Amino acid sequence: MNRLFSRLSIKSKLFGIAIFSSLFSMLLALLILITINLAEIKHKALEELQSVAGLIANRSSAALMFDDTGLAKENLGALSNMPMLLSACVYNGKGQLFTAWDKDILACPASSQNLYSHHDQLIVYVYQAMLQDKENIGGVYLASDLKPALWRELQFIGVVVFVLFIAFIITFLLTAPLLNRVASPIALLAKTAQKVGQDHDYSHRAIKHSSDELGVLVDAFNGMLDTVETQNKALLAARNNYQALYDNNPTMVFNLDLQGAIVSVNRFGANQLGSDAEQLRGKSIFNFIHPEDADVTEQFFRLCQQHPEKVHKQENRIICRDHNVIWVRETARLVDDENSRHLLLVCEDITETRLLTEKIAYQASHDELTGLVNRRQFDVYIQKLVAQVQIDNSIHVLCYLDLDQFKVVNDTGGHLAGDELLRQLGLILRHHVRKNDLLARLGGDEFGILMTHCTLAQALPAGEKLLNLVRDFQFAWENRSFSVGVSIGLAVINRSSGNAVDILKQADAACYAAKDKGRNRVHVFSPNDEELALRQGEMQWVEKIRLGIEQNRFQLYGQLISPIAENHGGLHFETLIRYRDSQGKIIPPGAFLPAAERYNMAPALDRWVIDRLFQHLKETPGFIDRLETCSVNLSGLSLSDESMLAFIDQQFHKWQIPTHKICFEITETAAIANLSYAKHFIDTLRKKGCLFSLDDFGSGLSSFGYLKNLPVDYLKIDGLFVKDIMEDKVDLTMVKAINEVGHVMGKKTIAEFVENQGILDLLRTLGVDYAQGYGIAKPVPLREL
Amino acid sequence: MSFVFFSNTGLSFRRIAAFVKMTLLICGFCHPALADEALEYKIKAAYLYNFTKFISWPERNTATFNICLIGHNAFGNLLNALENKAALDKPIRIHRFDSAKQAKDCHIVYFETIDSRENLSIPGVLTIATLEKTLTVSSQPFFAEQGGMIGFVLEEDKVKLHINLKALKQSGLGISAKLIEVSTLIEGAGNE
Repeated sequence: MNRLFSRLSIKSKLFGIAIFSSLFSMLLALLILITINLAEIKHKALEELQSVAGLIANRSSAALMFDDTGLAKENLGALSNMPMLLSACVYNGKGQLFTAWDKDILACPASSQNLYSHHDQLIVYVYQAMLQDKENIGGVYLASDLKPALWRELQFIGVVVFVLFIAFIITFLLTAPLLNRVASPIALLAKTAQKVGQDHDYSHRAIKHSSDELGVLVDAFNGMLDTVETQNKALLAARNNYQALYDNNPTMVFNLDLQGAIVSVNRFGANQLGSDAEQLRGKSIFNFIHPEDADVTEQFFRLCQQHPEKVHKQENRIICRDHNVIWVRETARLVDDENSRHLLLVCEDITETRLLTEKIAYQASHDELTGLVNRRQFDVYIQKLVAQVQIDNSIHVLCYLDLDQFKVVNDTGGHLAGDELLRQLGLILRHHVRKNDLLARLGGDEFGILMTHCTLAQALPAGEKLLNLVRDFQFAWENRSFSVGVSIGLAVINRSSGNAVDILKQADAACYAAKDKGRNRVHVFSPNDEELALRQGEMQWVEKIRLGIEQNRFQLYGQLISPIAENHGGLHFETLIRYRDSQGKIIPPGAFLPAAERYNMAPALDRWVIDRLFQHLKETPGFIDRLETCSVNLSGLSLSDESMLAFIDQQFHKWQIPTHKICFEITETAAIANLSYAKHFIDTLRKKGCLFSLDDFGSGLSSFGYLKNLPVDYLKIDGLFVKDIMEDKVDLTMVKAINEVGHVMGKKTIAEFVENQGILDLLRTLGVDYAQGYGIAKPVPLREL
Repeated sequence: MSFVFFSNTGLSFRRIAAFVKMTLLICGFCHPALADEALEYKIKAAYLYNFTKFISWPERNTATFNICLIGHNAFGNLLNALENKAALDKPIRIHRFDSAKQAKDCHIVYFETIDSRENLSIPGVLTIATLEKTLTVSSQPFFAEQGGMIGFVLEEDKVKLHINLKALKQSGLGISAKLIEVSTLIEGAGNE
């Protein structure tokens, strides 16, 4: 009943209330009317009957007293025209029925005992005692039917009901339009509200019909709609803004469930995957992860779940549209929302960076010319193998190859021919080593082969094969044909062999022994080889340099550098080093500097040179005053030695040398090998006033581009070009070009290898600033300067 | 004392009954059902008392309401019960006299039929001055017709009243219409 009511419209409720209250009041009135009337009828009937009984009693007293039943009956007979009367009885003083008048329905009781006035259902009974001077002489008993009276009353009430009903209908017809005037504005308001809800269009407005509470409601409703509309617009704008940010963000943004199914993805991400966001929903992210990265990614997701407080990162591959594989950096975090846990995954495309890194890693570990593994990487492999040998007791062989007669090709065909020969030989060797063997170019004309899981017995024929291969190779260059040979040294890598450096030394020594024995042969390392190498090869210098520094066997020389245009100014020379052997013979640096570079002793030698030079400058009276510029060579290793700067700084302080009189010479190759650190090195010292010159410019990697980045003061033109400028026009043009570019960049130029006056004159016409060489001055001990 | 007196009169009762039977036969109004004279007199005694309700007497200075029985006492002790009642707010007293002349200050005088033996004509009786303002009642036949006021007559086994309205009015008594309704009015001689 309550639910039914609540479902009704306001109009129906108003009508319902009106009808209900009218009907209820009508019914109530009727009930009261009927009750009152019934009571009244009964009361009246009782009263009437009582008075009749009184009358009869009075009239019949004499008849009773004198036993006149006839008269009594006659008296009762007078009542016969009372239609409702059912029976009338007169009793004598003893209570016996004296006379009676009755209808068949209700006979008079025989005795007046237990008779009293009452009504029973629709019959009224009256008993009237007859008293004569307080003496009971008898009684009258009447019974009357109420039905006719009630029936008349009902008819009357029926008429009343009918009239009331007519009045009710008329009232209803009159009030219905009034109720409508109340209900219809509410219905209109509700309709507007419903329309707003259905269309989500907040521009609808309700119409105000009145100024009563409903009018206030309409105003408030419209006001609320205004607010909602404004806020909705603002929200929509904000949402679009964020959606655009989300969709156009150049990263792939995924919302995943914990199983990896895509809950949502931004448009950029969907584009990358070659689909749209709707189609991707529900698909697993693993459909797009590169199969090789699937396991890693699963672990990554597990890690995210185990440590929800952290942001996790990893790199893996994703297969994009057209099966294009890209590298991405995945950044993921577990996000808890109200209902569930989600994985927020942001994938940033790092393919380019990754490829660049790979390229750099490749370049760092490979030789540019031949594409083979370089020495550094080769060392790493040897170290790995040495470690492995300790574990599995396997046997491997290190093969050291040194080309014979390569210098001939280089000298007659030029650097390009030498490079081409190396490149071609690299290719040939690569095709003839086993798949598991590692071929590397160790520098210059040296190659190394790491024959893994190989015994000496297997390695020897392999070495012979390679030997024949190189010997049979005919290199053609500019209508000329060259053939080269190779000396091969073998060293076994087993549990008893030492560390990687030792093994390399052994192979090197074996190779040296092979050369020593007449080249073009394979030699297996024996301890004697090491001695031989120590004595006659580079290896001997390792110990000699160490001892030389200790025993001051090195000597400083200086070679003058003179200005070409006019001869003025102070002393300008390059500091050089010589070794004085036990027999007092002076050995030039070409013999021991390569060994010093290879065995990492160059920085120590550089320090020795600086220390001794500064000491000489300080301790020779008047020398500093005469001195204009003194240049010192720095090896490539010194350039990348971080403690070198501090050492130089300390030396300046120790010997109190004016920094602007010292010029450091570095080679282009060394500077480019670690350009950024070299730049830092140069900048630091130049700020202190030191000068720098770039040595051997024109050979090596030679690019004018590097010059821009190297803030040097002097450019030393490689002597290889200078010595032939009288005959070779290409060399002349090269020198001219280097000189001009150097000048344009604000650098002074120095020509090396100036061996005679003709070259000097030519250089003067070219405008080169300084000259150095045997034609100017030969190197002399410092004290002779 | 009077109770003792009544209880010793069993013989005279039988005689009276026999007499009444005889007179009833003479009158031709005899009814075998009313053979019980005791009942008849019981009714009559009640009627005597009932008259006090319907008859009005002029004011008289007496202490009691006197009912006088003249002649033979046919009621026996049936009337004794009346002495416990009152009429006109006065206690009822029953007086018995042999002759009407003796009767003084009576409200109701009942003449027994026994007086006929003495040849005493009723009109004569009624002319007695002492009977002024007195209701005269008797069971004598034609009592009302002969100048009496109310006569008890047996009709259809019932004691009926014959009333001489003229005699009643002459003696200054009032009568209720109700009594008239239950009675038969008689055109009889008045009391000159």
